[in-house]
Amino acid sequence: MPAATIRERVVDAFRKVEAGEASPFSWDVKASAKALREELGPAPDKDDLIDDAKAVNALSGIVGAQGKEVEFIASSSVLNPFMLEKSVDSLDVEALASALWQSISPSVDIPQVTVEALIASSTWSPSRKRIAWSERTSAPLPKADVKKTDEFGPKVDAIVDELRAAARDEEIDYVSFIKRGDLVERAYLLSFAITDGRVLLNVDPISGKITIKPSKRRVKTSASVVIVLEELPIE
Amino acid sequence: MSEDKAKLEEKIKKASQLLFLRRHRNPGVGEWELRKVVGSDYRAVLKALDERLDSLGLTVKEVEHEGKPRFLVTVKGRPPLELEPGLGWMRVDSLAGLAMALAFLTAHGGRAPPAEVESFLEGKFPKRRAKSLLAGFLEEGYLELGKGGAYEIGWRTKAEVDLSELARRIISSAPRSASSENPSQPP
Repeated sequence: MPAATIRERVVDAFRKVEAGEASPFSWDVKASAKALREELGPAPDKDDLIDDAKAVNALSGIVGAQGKEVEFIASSSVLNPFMLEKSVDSLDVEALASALWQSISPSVDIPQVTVEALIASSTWSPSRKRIAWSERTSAPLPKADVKKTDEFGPKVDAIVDELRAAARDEEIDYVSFIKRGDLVERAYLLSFAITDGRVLLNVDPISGKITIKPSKRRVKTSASVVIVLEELPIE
Repeated sequence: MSEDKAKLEEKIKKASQLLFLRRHRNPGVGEWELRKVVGSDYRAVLKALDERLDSLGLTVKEVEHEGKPRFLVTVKGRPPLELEPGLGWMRVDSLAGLAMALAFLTAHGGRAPPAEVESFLEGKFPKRRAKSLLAGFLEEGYLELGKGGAYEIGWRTKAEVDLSELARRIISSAPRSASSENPSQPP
């Protein structure tokens, strides 16, 4: 259903511009500003003023989008966008890849893959198929066979006690600790102890080394640290 | 070696480690990390590092990401190697998909609804591949989702890709009949 008032039409136009569904230049800003002023009338009530403010805000957003588009077009020096789109249509995949390759200065970095991690990835679960990111968090759990039953709490207690005995208030290496038994189960149990504030986890920003130590007092944390087991240096 | 010089050397090493060793999903390092590890004079340190990288054909670039500066090392100018399947950096079809998405956004003023970009890629790729390519570009920072849900040019594209050069190369590579067809069509 089309928007009834000029205010609603302006807000709707801005939404379309933000969603990329309409060009910011398809809207006559000057005429809209005048129409908004007329629609407001000589004696606006509180609701009118609020709606008017929303519409003026949307109108300024459209002007902002026009500015951005002008800046973008000027910086990309594309004189004929239609021709660009047609040219893409007429090129094959190799030619397009080549065009990008000749226009790119790729970023350079070294993923922190160690020899140990490579060996682990091939030996830990050789038959494992590629797991989609969305499935990764839940994938190892059935293997770990850990369920939130009555025995779950004592299991977490036991691993915290074990850490206390091993660490003696010092930081110890996370990987070597979880490797002392069923790796996935221990990592899973530890994650609850960490969330519960009973174990402190630290990731060195330079080396990426993960260390843990028992907490002296329980401080619950809402911060999350993602540790991808497949990426750990596990032999 | 003076104490100041030794300190600078140490800071250059720290900065290069931060920039070269990827610790997050995407390359580069935020300003706060450099400030924390290298110190408040990190810009001077990056300049010194940039001078050293110059002889290797690399450079330190600054780009805005989520309103904050982000720094990364890129190849200086165009890659000297020829594009070939065994290059191991990005698959040929990924490069082509990215070229298509960027060209489409360039032709539409820098933003477009995801469905339109996807549909454009489906001209050369199966629907599923087009979807996965676009998801990858979003994850890698080559594309970004704007406030209204539109695809926009991502921070990594701004750091790595010369969009006007890309448009020029695409138009000049196209068969003459395609690039000259309807040349007077307005934007």
